[in-house]
Amino acid sequence: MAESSSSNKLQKPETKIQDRISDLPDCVLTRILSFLPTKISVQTSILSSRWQHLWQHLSVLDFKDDSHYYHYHHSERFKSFAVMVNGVLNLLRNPRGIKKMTLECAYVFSHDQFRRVSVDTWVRSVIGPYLEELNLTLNEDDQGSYFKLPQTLFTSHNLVSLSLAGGISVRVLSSTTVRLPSLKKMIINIGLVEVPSLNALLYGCPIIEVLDLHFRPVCFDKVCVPPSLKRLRIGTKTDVGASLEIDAPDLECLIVRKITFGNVFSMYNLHNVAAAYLDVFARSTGSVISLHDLLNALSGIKHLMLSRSTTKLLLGEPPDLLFGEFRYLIHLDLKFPWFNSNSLLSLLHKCPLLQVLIIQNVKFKEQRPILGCAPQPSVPNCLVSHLNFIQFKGCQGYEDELFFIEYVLQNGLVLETMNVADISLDLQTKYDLLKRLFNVRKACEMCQFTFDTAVYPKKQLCLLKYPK
Amino acid sequence: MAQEASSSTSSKTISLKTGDGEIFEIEASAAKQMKTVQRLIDDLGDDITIPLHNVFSKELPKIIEYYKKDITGEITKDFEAEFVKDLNDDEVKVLFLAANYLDANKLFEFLSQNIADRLESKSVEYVRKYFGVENDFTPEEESKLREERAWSFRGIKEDE
Repeated sequence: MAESSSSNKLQKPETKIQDRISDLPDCVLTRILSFLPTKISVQTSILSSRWQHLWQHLSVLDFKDDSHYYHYHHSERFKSFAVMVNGVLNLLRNPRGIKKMTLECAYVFSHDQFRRVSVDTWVRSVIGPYLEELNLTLNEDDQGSYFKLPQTLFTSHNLVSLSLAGGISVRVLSSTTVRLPSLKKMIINIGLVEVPSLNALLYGCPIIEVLDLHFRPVCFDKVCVPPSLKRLRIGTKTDVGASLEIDAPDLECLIVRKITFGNVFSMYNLHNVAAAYLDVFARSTGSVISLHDLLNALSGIKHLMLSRSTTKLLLGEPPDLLFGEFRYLIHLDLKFPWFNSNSLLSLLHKCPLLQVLIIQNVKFKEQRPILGCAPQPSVPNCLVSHLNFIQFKGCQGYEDELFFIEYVLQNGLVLETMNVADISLDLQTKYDLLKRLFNVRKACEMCQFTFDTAVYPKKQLCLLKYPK
Repeated sequence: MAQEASSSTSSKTISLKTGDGEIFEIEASAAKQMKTVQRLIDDLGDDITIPLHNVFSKELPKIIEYYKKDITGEITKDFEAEFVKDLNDDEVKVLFLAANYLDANKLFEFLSQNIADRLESKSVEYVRKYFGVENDFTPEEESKLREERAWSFRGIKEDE
């Protein structure tokens, strides 16, 4: 061993490394190329005779057109882009063996036949038994031109990951039986969608684990989510909303935006969901019961965030919270349309092990309703033993808010941090408020009362991080 | 050298010896991620110091750092960005070659992407030098190729 290192000392280290790179087999070099935009990979053909045809063995394609960012000559620029893509597809050694394609271009100008045919041809040319990943982004224009996906995509045997964004129409014809037996991840962020078509698509994905869905439903309908899911993010883009049918025992993460409830509650087996963000709204008076049913189903939840629209549905009188305790909840993040200490304390009674509470007052158009102020029978368990961090953003100085802060300071035996941030008051009122709060006798000796700048808990629970 | 066999498999460490004679310890679970190392363990046993002729003391600690994070599931985009932030193009190349030799797939893919990102905006001459490629085209051959592939060179600045 010692001998070989001394002979190496004679060679310049640089030369030695470069020899080793050229020693690398073609397949390793092609692998590096597969991480480059394909246009750049093609340029390596002039490096040397060995490199001339290396790129042609690529099985990963990445085409991004930026012509729509320019003000003029869109058609000409797109034509250049099309010539490049066609050139690549023509020269590939194995065009049918493409494993992954990323295509991003504009799908503007609905009357542009050339553009429509080009995109259609390119997508069709990679659909085959080897295709594992397809990422299609068609930047749309205001005219709502949509690219119709070829139906053959829906029977791609080896497709593992599918991402569709922009002006794409996901329409499953009744003559198509969707069969995507390998699909694990699907991301859809498009415009108008007919929910029955979407359900037909989801029905054909028996092992899907990650689903990210954002769309505008044509009309209110129920989205039926596959049972194999581990992570679900679903949101509608208008107030039409959609309801969900979920029976997913492996689901760990649930994020919903602008979702509402149907006539029949159909969200079951959610006890393994560890983190959830809920932004739901009421379509009818029955919606409140359904929200309670949903919260009941999330019995194993550890990290919960509720939007203003969701919290609004919980701001009733204390006996109205018809769901069980959150026995595992550690982190609760609430946005309030208006503050109500009674409701908040009733909620805290449901979270015996809560450690972190973050609340934010978000200004709302609706009027604050006048609610009764029934005194709390007992101190919530979490305040006595677990709650160590409270952050209150957007305090407006209402008596009820001050009552709550004083209450938690006086009863929070382990409350180490009380942070009141974004106080929207004039200096004098703020001074008086803070003076009052500083003088409160704190139950926890180590309690640090901070204000103005928001602070964050030391151990941030990152369960809601969503994979790209 | 005398090696004590640890009784519990979960905290077992493997000794690796670099090409320039230094010894480093890694967890057995991290070693599993480097297929070359795992193969050597399977052949030679896990009590012996595993020799790695083609990896040196400059780069092995970085690789160990990466896989330490990997086995705890803590590899994030931020960590990866930090990991390569202060490395120059040649240092990344050395790490890349080591990852290739060790058959350490995750690190290899990450470094491939990083190299591709670094080379994307570089000139042809720089890339040649980086890969140690000797240009064996005549000027006529090269310009003919450039013309044939004009559709891929359109819109790119010509190199000096």
